[in-house]
Parts: sequence; structure tokens; C-alpha cells
Amino acid sequence: MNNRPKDLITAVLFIALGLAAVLLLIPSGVVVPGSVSIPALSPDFWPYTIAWGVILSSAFLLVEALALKVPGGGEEDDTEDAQYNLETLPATLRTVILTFALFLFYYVLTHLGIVASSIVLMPAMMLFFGEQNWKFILPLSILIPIGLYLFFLHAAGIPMPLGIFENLL
Amino acid sequence: MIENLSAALDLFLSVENFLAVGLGVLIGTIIGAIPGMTTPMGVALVLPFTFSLPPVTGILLLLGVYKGGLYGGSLTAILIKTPGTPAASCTILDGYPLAQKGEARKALDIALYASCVADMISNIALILFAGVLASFALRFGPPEFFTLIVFSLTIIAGVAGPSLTKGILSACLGLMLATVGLDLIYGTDRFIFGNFELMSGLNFIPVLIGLFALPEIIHRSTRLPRFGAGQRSRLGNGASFAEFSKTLKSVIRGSVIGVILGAIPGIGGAPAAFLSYSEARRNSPNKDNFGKGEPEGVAAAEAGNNGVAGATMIPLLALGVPGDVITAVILGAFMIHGLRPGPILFEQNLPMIYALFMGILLSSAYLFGIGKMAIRVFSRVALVPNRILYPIVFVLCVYGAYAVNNNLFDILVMLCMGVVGYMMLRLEIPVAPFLIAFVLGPLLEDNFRQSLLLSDGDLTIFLRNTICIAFWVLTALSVFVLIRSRIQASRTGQASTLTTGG
Repeated sequence: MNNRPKDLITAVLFIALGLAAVLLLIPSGVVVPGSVSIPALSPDFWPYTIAWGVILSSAFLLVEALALKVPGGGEEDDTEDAQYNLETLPATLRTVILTFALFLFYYVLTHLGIVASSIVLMPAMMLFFGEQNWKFILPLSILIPIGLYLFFLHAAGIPMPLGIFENLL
Repeated sequence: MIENLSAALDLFLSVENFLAVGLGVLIGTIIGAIPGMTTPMGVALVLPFTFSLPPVTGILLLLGVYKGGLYGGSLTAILIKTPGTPAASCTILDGYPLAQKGEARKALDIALYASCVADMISNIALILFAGVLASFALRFGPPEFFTLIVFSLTIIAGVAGPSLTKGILSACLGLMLATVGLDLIYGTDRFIFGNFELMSGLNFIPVLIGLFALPEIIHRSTRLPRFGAGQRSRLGNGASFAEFSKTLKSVIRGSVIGVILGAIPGIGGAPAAFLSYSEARRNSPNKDNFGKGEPEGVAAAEAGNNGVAGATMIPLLALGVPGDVITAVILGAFMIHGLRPGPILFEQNLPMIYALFMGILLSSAYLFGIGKMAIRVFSRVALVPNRILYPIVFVLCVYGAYAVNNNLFDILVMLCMGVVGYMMLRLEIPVAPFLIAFVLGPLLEDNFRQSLLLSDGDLTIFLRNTICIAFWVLTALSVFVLIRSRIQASRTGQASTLTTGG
């Protein structure tokens, strides 16, 4: 397996990240007091050192990817999932949908609370991953969020946020 | 001596003590296995129940929770790639691939055996060398810590995988994220950008869960299952004595590393696990198999992690200095009962100390029995189809991330780290160096800056005594061995000199 494209993307991405840190993120994000007597004690010394480390390492990776023979790092996937191939939507689109759904879940749980949001999310995720047996989907989707809520409440003394349902209980 | 032992036996031999140790280990194992429920949290939760118990019983209950918690983290780490504790994240590196190969039972058994042996070695070290190790540990100031952590960071070369450069980049990313929060010396903002939630930095647990569990779930979305077939259908056989004995050298080495690091206040199980793993890999004839499901890797990680258990009690009992949050809670339990650990406790309450030692030894036996039981129950998880398991794991992660600080922001951190972890997975950037750097980064920076504060900026403080020099020599040796192995690898045509993991 040829890793060169991935190495190139990684190198460019990290060079951009390192430069963004040096030129933008550290100057605007790290507050340096005026009375720093020893430069190495300054709050921005460590971030700058790491950022330059990122830039130099990614530049080195770029040279490696462009000029040297790079051994394949990937191996054949021999897990039980390897036999599954994408049969419907393109993989990237499914990944984007799932990622978007997870962040949407976070937004929803800030309003509906963790339990209700989880009860909605679990069947959706199970269907998305291919489970079709409602005998499993329904009871698990209801019992697990409620069971975890009760466990954390009574065993650990941690009340999970219930959002708008907080007032109903 | 005989009188003291006799009095200690009187104190120890009671049904309550035997029950307390067993119950503690059981509670700890369950808590350790639940992502988000940390061992300190477990010890703190049990603390109020000890108020009405006799001192020995109460403290043994807490010690049981502590030991169970250290081991319990490995269960979910191996089975669902979700570390219950930061130290268990090292167990993932080989434990999860073993489970994926259908050898979950073997991985769990090896982890348990290694944990029990390391725990026993640590307990014996506590009993025999408490005084010596405590005085050695007290010689560690910021410069010694700094050089120790620099040496520990050479682990990154061992876990970087095929490309060392990518491993270094991953570590840099971890170091950078570890700088988020208030500056410890000047109290100024670093990468907070007006968000007060970031003032205390990024919490370990949501970052770990996000980096390990979520990428696996997101990656799963790219595949569709065929119903009724293809799911993992076996747990494999447990580990035989012969298989475990092959790892024994690494287990003993890891235990010693755990004991030494555990005796030093403020280090904890995670660095010990990684250092033990790295040393096992460096010395193993199967080093190429590390990271792909090598039982020795699981054993070494667990040995390092559990080796700290008894040793963290050394500074507490011998000097009255708590080495970490858990021993600080246990110190609280001592004080609630009107006891103050330290040299005076050894003079005035020696039978009680001996009784505690007996209970600590008993906890290793309990750990074995309860661990075996836990494996039988938890290993069924590996048989649940991924299309059902992953949504459950995700919900568990959400609850766990929230439970750490009762903070919804931690769930967002977990999700963001999940996306970062997925990108790393796709670009084949190893996660382990990120994790090591994220865990060790704050220690590295704090000790570096504290050293310079002590020396008024003079860098020679990092060479101030034999401990510092010894760690620099060890670091140089590690780098030398790494370079030599790369040159050898390129000569034998296995791979390029610059990119092959050593």
C-alpha cells in the first residue's frame, strides 16, 4: 500500500497548523505578562517550541514523502469487519452524516437532556449501522439510557441533565 | 516483633475485614470498567461509608477499591477500545487487536495475571522497602522529574508505528493540546479564547474516550454489515500458564518500573504503563508484533499500571505524603479516624500497619478471583454484534464523559477529539504518541519551568546530581539503540531508515 498521498496531506496539514499556531493562535491566544525575566519561563515559550517542532517535523515528512521511498504502513484488515463492503452510500458521505448526527445530538442534548436524546439517538444509530430487528432496537434504546441514568444517579450520585424534562420530574 | 504481629492478627482476622477487601476490589473493578467513572471517584464515593467502620476495615475497603479500579480499566480497554482509566489506554495498544482476532479471553487473562503478579510484587515492595524507597523518592525534585519524563518520552519511538516522523507530529499535537488552560506560573490564559470552560485545560477522560472509542465508531459507518454472518463468534481460549510464562520477564520488569514510579509522588499509573510497555517492546524478540495483538504488550502495560498500586502507599505510610489523588483520599480516611500516617504511625501503631499489610496482600488474591469472575461476565460483550454494540458504547461514552466533571462541555470535547482521532486514523497517524505526550506534557513543562525558577534560569540544574545524569544517559542510550535499529532495518531491506519504527 502506498502511503505517499496520505503523508503529503499530513505534512501540508501540519505545516499549515504549525504556521497558524506561530503566526496567529499563539500571539492571540497566549497572554504574556510584561514582567517575564527569563524567556524560557514565559507562558508562550512552550507553545512556540512545540509549534516549531510541528513545522520542522512536517517539513521533514514532506521531504520524506517527496524524495524517499516510504514503506507501506497499512496492513490488510483481517478483522471480522473486513468482509463488509460499502453497498449503498459512498463511505465518505456516510461518515459525514454520522459525524453531523453526533454533533446534532450534542446540540439536542443541551435542550432535551442526555436521557431523552439518547433514547432517540440509539435506534437511529442501530438502524444506520444495519440492525433491523426491532425486538433488540426498542428495548435496548429505552432501557440502556434510563438504566445508565439510574446507575449514575443512585450509585455515583451524579444526576444527568434532563433538559426540558427536568421540570417535569 | 512477635507481639506486634500477634496484635496485628487480632486486628486483621475478622469477617468484616475479609468482606471489606473483597467488596472493595469488586466495586473498584466495576468502577474501573465504566468509562468516565475514575478510580479516584470510586474511592471518594466509598469514603463516607468508612466513617462508621473500624480504621483497618475502612482503609482496607478503600484500598480494595483502588486496586480493583486499576485493574478494571483494562476490561473495556480490551473489549471495546474504551479505556476506563488513563493507564488502561496503554493496554488498548495490544489488547484490542487481540480481541479483534477472536482472542479476547486470552487478552483478558493475560491482563489479569499480569495485574495480580505486579500487584503482589508491589505489595511486597511496600512491606520490605517502604523506608528505603520513600527516602529515594524524596530526592526527586523538579529537575529529576524533568529528566525522568524526557526519558519516558523516548517511548514515543516505540509506539510510533511505521513512521517515526508521524509519531513525533502526533506527540507534538498532544503536547500542544496539553498547554490549553491557565498558565500555572503566571496565571495567564493559554488558548482559552474567552471560553471559561477551557481554563482548567482539557480533561483526560473525554480526550481519551474521544481519541480511542469514537474513531472506531465513525469508521464503522463506512461499512455495512451482512446480517446473520461475519460477527465475531468466539472469545477464544484463555491464556495457558505457558503463554503467560513467556511474558513473565516483561511482567517483572514492568512491576519494578511500577514500584519505582509509584513510589515517586505525582507520577501515577499511566507513565508507568507506557514505560513498561516500551521497555518490553525494546527487549522482546516479537517486537514487530507489538501494536498488532502481542500478549507481552498487554502484560507489560498492565504490570506497569498495577505495579504502582502498593508503591503509591510507600510515601503515604512512611512519610505521610500522598502521591496522588487516591492516596490523598486515603490519607483523609486515616485522619478521619484520628491517625496521621508517617514515622510516628510506625512507632505508635505498628500492629495496625501490619494489619493493613495483611489486608493488602489479601487484596491480590481477591483481585485474581474477582478478575476471573469479571472476565466471564464482561467477555460476553465481545460477542455482541457491532451494529448493536457501537450505539451502546457511544451512549456509555456520553454518560461517562459527562460524569467526570458533571459538565456538558466535556461531551463536546469528546466529540471533537473523536473527529481528530478519526482524521488521524485515516491519515495513519498513530494515536499512542499523542496520548503519551498529552499525559506527560503538563508534567514535562511544569517541572522544566519549576527547575528554571529554582536555578534562576541556569540550565545546569538539569545535571545537578547522579539521578539527573543517569536519566540523561538512559535517554541517550535509548536514542542510540533507536538509531542503530533503524540503520539495521534499512540494511536488511525491511524498510527505509528514516521511517521505520525502531
